[in-house]
Amino acid sequence: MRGDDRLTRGRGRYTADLRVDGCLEAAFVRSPVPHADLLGVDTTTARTLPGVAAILTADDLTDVGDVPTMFGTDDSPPWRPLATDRVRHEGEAVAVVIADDRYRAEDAAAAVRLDLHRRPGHAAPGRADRLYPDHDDLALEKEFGPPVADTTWQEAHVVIDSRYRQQLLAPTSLEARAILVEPGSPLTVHCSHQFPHGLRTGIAGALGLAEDDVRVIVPDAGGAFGSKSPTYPEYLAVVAAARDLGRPVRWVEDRTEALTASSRGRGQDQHVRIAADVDGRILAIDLQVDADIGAHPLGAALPGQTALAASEAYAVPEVHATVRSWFTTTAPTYAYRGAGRPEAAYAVERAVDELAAELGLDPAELRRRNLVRDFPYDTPTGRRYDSGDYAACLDRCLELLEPDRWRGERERPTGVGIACYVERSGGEPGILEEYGSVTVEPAGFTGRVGTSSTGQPHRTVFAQLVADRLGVPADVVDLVEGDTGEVPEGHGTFASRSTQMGGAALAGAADALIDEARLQAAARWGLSSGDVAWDKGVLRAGTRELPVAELAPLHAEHRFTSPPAFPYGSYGVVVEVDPDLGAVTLLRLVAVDDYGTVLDHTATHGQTLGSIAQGLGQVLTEGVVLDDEGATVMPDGLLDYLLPTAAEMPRDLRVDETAVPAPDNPLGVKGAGEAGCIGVPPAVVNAVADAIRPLGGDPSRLRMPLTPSVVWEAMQP
Amino acid sequence: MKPAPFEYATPTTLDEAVALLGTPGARVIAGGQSLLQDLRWRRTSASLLVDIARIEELRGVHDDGDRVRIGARVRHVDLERGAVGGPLGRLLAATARWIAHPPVRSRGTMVGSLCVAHPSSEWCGLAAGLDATVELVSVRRRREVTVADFLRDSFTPAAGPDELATALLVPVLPEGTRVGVVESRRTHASYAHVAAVAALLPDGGSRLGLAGAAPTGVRAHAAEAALARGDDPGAAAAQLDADPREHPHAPIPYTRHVAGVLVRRALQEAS
Repeated sequence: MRGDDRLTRGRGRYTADLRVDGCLEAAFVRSPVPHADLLGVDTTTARTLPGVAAILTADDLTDVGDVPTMFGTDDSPPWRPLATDRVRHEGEAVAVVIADDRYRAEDAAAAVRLDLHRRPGHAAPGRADRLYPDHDDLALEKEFGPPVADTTWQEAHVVIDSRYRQQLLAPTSLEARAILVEPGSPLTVHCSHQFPHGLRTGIAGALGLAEDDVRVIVPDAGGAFGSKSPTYPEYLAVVAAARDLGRPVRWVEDRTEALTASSRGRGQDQHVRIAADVDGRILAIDLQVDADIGAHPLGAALPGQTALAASEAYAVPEVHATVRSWFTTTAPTYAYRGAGRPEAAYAVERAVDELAAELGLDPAELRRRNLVRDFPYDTPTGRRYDSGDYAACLDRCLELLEPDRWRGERERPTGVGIACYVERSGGEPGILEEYGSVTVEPAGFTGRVGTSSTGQPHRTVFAQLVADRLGVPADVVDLVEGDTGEVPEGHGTFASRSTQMGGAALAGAADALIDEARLQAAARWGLSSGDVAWDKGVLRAGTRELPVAELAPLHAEHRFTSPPAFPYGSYGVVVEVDPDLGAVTLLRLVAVDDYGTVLDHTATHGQTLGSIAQGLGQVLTEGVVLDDEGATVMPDGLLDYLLPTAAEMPRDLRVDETAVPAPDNPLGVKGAGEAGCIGVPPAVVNAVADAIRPLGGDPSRLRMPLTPSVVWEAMQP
Repeated sequence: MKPAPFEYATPTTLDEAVALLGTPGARVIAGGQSLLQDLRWRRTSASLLVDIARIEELRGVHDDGDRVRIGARVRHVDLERGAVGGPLGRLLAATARWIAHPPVRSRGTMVGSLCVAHPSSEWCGLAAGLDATVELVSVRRRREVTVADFLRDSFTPAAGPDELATALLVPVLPEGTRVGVVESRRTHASYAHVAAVAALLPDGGSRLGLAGAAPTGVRAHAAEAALARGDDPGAAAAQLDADPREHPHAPIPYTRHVAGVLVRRALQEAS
């Protein structure tokens, strides 16, 4: 049985399941409008209601520091845990009610009166009326790569000029945000989180505590998809409440909060231009991104990921990208599975498909002519692609897709679409390092690593990895992660970094443990370590042997650093379009990804399927619906924000991998977590474009999500 | 979110239930598949929930030859599994299969759906199309209201706060009637966008109902008339019977168009 089997059997133990004596429950009072002056908060009635222990407002948190931004700007405006004089997005927390149960907390929250003076909201990226008095609405502007020469555009045989929209997505993990804080020394924080050491730093910093005074423990976590790495304002409010009351306090975010108040992903207006010669050789790509980053600069710099990826899989001499991040009166835009790379792949792969149509070239052939073939490859916007055989990946995809099989007379309009992508895994400078250790215990070994599973099978994969390294059975290896009291340092789980960075750190620690054990055995025996062999947990020299357990306590650490890796893939999709309704049906979906060397195919296969499902969500059904001012228009929650279910998965789903080892990684592994989110959306839209083009449809009117009405309208003359 | 506090009663007789409904702020709960959501979101409230799950008189289906009486406790899944016989039963079963997904169908009730009056409710479209009647009981009286009158507007059924909808009375479809139902929706688990229900009667007449095409379920009179004349019932449904509201994922012209397409497809399925 796999070590993480209990999660799929409903035996996980999440933050909401923790039993802590005397624990109080929190409910937030939130802004009902996108933008308003906050003139007053009246808690008089609410405080008298049964079960209420405390109600905190901004006035009670003056000794708590600002909310740290993760990918903010150099001069980010202050972000307070609870709003002070203005609310800048619907769902912004204004007060927190602490009561003896969640029902009573919500009763009291409903009784808190807010005195709000509406201001106009603006949901779309662009300059408005100063969301912050001392800051421009343009939170950040950045340029990547040298500008494309005017002559390139003028002399090109063809220039494609397209605009696309990346709709806002709600990350929607099964478990939304959750935190339980126990006051004391250390302050103990149980939180469904991707980055426990970062949360420790964030809380300690805001509360004026030393890092050792805060212990963050991540219980089982029900998904994250990038959204659970920040120190959210709600967390600081809950910490302050627990501290002030001297009692444990828990907050479990519900789905309504998650859909209105929590961070969102994507959110970009894109303008892409591609210049090519008569043979379809791409001469230049220019990508301009205007990102709606929400009311706080939590992820203001994240669209830079899109700019960095603007070359995608192609060797293009001139590539230039600009990013403008705009404050909007919406919940903060932040990481969501793919975090910048799906956006880039969509813009480039849609435009490349338009280029193929313009030139009358087969889209696969056009791509093949432009693929990067020599590695390492430095892109003009600043990436160094480490390795790969992009053409082999595309060829395998086409083999499985059988594009010609779907041509000719068919009952309904049918289209074939492909998309190639290159992404970045492991992280960026600053987190391109990870801690691992292996300790000899009386009954086996314990690995410790700075990653933090939010549902991924780390226990299975990492225990096996350490066991293989040591030559011992996996069931004598225990794994500890997600606890800052147990693991001294770490950078968490995101950016598809866990196995690449954490796995390599554990492997290095296991190797170091073997070296240390040989040294110590050699010292006992008066030999040099070169005379001592490690044999499945036993040290041997000639006829002498010593089980490593006898050397306990024995402990080795390793800090692994490396450049990022660049996984890639080719996706192919066949769709059928209902000519009368516009509904899209997937007849086949092919995913061929290169994750480098794969340690556990069950794990990577699960990642591929999950990311495909979320890619299908973005392209077909998901999308946060806002009015022009930024208020959500999703009264029925997940009946309006439609997630794909198992029933939405294509029946003919062909998943394969190629495996070019990552040269900078001792295990050869690249990240595997985000592939389908990146490859699926452009492949599906390209397929729908292919289906409607012969009918006189206009692919430029296709936008995500491809609801039936969008496709139907694109088919109208 | 959590609902605001409420009292909860489980009467075992109809008299007891309607007496409880005299309490200001009392609400009836049957399967709870809509009401519990609304309470949880605090967009409705109740001082007292009167649970009708134990009232014997509200059980089951009774066919008197002219009308089938479907009691307020009859769940979607009961109809899906063939609680009603004949062509009407086939139409009810085919329609039930479109409702939400199995967990909802195993708790939600048909009469409850009528009382919620969601614009996309398949049952509202069917009940309107078949000229069904709602039976309402209060301490004051027992009365019958046609579905056309009962479904005044979205979410606002024509029932007093003290009235309990005890049954839906659906005219029996004669032997030889052919039936069809089709629906458009965005995922397998989502609300209907539009649903069309068709019955082709042996005398050449037809009954057509639409859900999602107007603020409430409606009978597609214009499409029926067009069909009788030999004209395109789809065009009539789109232009005359449909009266859609704007939806973020479905502009009005598109919904009209879909109503027409689905009426044609429902008729095709029936023929």
